[in-house]
Amino acid sequence: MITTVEGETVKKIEPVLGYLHRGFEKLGEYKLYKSGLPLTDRMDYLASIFNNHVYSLAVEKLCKIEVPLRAKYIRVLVCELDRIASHAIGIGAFLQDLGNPTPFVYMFRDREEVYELFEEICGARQLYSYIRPGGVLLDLTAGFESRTEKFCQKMDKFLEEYNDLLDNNEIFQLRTKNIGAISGEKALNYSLSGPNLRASGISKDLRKDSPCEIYDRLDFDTCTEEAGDVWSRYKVRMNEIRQSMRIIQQILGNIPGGNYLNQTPAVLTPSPGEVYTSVESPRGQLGIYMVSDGSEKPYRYKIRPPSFLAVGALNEMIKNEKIADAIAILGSIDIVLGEVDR
Amino acid sequence: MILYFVKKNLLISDNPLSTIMSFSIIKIPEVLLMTAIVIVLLLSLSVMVMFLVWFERRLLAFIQDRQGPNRVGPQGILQSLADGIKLFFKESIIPAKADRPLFFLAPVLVFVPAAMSFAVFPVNKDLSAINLNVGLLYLFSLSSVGAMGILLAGWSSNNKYSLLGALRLVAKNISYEIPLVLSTLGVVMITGSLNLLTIISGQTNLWFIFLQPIGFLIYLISAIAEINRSPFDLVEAESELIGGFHTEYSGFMFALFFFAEYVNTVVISIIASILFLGGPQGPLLPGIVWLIIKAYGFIVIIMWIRGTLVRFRIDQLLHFCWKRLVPLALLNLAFTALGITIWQNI
Amino acid sequence: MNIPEFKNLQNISRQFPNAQWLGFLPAGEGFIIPPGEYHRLCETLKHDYGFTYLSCLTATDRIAKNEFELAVHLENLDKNEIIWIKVPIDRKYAEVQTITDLWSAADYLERETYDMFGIIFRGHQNLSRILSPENETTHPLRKDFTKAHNMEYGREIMQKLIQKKKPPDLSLTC
Repeated sequence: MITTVEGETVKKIEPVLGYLHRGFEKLGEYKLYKSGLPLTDRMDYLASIFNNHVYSLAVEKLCKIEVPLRAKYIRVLVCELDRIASHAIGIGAFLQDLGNPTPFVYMFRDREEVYELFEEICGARQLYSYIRPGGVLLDLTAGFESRTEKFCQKMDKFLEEYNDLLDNNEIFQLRTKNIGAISGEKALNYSLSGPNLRASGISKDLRKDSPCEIYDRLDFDTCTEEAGDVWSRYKVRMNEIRQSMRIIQQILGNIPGGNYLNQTPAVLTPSPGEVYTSVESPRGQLGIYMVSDGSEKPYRYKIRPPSFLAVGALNEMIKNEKIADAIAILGSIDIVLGEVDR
Repeated sequence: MILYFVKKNLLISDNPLSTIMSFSIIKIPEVLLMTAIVIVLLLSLSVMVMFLVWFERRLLAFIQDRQGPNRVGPQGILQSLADGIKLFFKESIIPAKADRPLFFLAPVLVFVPAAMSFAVFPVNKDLSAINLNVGLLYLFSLSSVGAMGILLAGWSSNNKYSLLGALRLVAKNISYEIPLVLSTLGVVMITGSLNLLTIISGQTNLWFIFLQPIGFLIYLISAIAEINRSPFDLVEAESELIGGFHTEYSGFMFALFFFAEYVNTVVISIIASILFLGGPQGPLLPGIVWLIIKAYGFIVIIMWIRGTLVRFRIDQLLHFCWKRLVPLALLNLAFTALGITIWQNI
Repeated sequence: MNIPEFKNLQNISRQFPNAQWLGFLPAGEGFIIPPGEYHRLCETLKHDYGFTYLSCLTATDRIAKNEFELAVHLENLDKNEIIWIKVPIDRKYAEVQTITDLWSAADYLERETYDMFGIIFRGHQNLSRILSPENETTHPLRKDFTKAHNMEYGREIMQKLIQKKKPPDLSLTC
């Protein structure tokens, strides 16, 4: 970020992007609809199941593919697991930037548990390619549900630990309260979404507003905070981990039997048209705009990355703060550069 | 620790001035002996720092629920030796526009005062290498010289991040020297002397930590701030300033900065145990062992704090010093004075 | 997300007679509008119909029809509606007015569209490349930018540099 400073106060910030630009949108035009799925993993690589999810939803809408009920339950389960993992690393990295290396290592311990769960069901620890158009790749293994239950109990205890370590720590509160505040109106103008928007007091959650899969059958709260500063964003993410655990508890034990994947031909040729869908990723509203011209490859698809727009709002948040605060704010908006640059 | 016994033999009188004057006629064996002493000192400091580096890494790893270095040597104890050897042989890259004399002078100015502090530390109740009447003043003035060294490092690197780190450091060190000295003034008032041996002998019945609890806490906080340790390590904050003042240093000069940080940690731990915990005194074991035990207690506390707390911001740091610590230290002094007057009139 | 209310869509289509109203698509409901009235339509939607959230702004290269198609998705968060606007832009002189005065989020999105397609947004404060390097001269997402084109282009740059006897600046080869 090119920072214009006056003493220790930041006057203007200009993020320089593009160092991780790999041209996924152009690459996607040369791949078949189903072959292009593993590409999407690599965009937001810390919460990669959501990229798969949004791509599969778009393809299903274009090609009019039905998803069996069991697959929908499994999809929500893995999405919420990945949400916990992603918030864990977001908070851990944010705290490490602030100067405390310990929560980062603790969060990795928790993320390791999620990795092991995923390795059981899809063989991959990080870039899953698990959610496919038509369902999920493989069925859940035996005993997966009991292991997920144990993980939720452990995570509960860990969250208590974090609250003890951090919430009442006066230095942490000094570093984060009233820093980088952005009002709800400005947040809407900058098209922030997800925890960044909810921390500014606007209670919008795509899982409640336009529920895909089975989110309308589940009971969970939208975590909102009023101030819009770094502390609020941290709190919103911590609360969202709890809500995700609540969702997982509701799903476990209630997954219906049946098919987990509706088989579709390897080469899909939808009729010409376009679609825009979005899901609630841990970073915000992850959207995809897919255009098809009747051939077997997408004519164009664009990913609407929430982190890209969050970087756009950085200048607004960091104006007139100190350099040390600039780091804290950058850590708190939880961006993943793979998504920003694609 | 061999050092102390060698220096004891060399001690001519209590007065440092006469010691220096006795060397005015240059005697070759004496000079060789002094060189040997310096080499022994540096070696023993190196061993101590290497042990401390390993100790810190294992302790932090234990706090963070992971292993530390445990491959090189038994339990990883030779890891710091391997790191030291690597740093020693690395190329010292000097920036083209750096101010060369200052660039080379800076690590020396940081490391030497830290090492020089060991001259006044008492080994026993009545024995120290140099028995200075103004021992405490000597120690605090050495820490100021160290701060100047870091400022030189930041300036001569010709790098905006280093300069920013150095400026933060100057503000911080100047500010925190005040509560540092004020907190120890209570101890000085009780014993009536700046001589470290007198301070120790004043604690034979009761340790000063019970008489000066607030002074102790203020001293601990100010001392951690002075040596740039977490949570006051914004001078070298890795996420913000790359490396702060030591960004441009590599190889042996970087190793010197690294050494100096650990030597400083030991120095303030020893000062804390001398001033507040009675120094080298204790029932069964020899004095030096007690000094080491007490100093390590403080070292563990300092490392523990590093693993737990978030960094301060510079203006919050200064706010904390001037608005909280200094008034508290002054109040402490006032109460101490009151207490002494009452005690003397009983 | 729901489709907008029918009577609102009727009103909009009456206010903008040049707009072509399309609906019942997987993408929902929306309008195709000529570039001249694009900014006015966005303003009306934002102020009168409550579509205050900009979801997405991008373009598609319709090389068969010799035009770019700018696609804008707007959301009404209170009623949970989404509407799209498509603007056909001439491929050779690709220019359209910016909407950064309505939504600050359009700043980065329009820069990306310029970078990838070469569409110039009139009135944008800082229309510069965002994802490609600063000295890049092509627009990658156009349909006539193929792999072979890229390799040929790279070869040209290398030839020019070798002729000038300068070592290749690695930031130029992308």
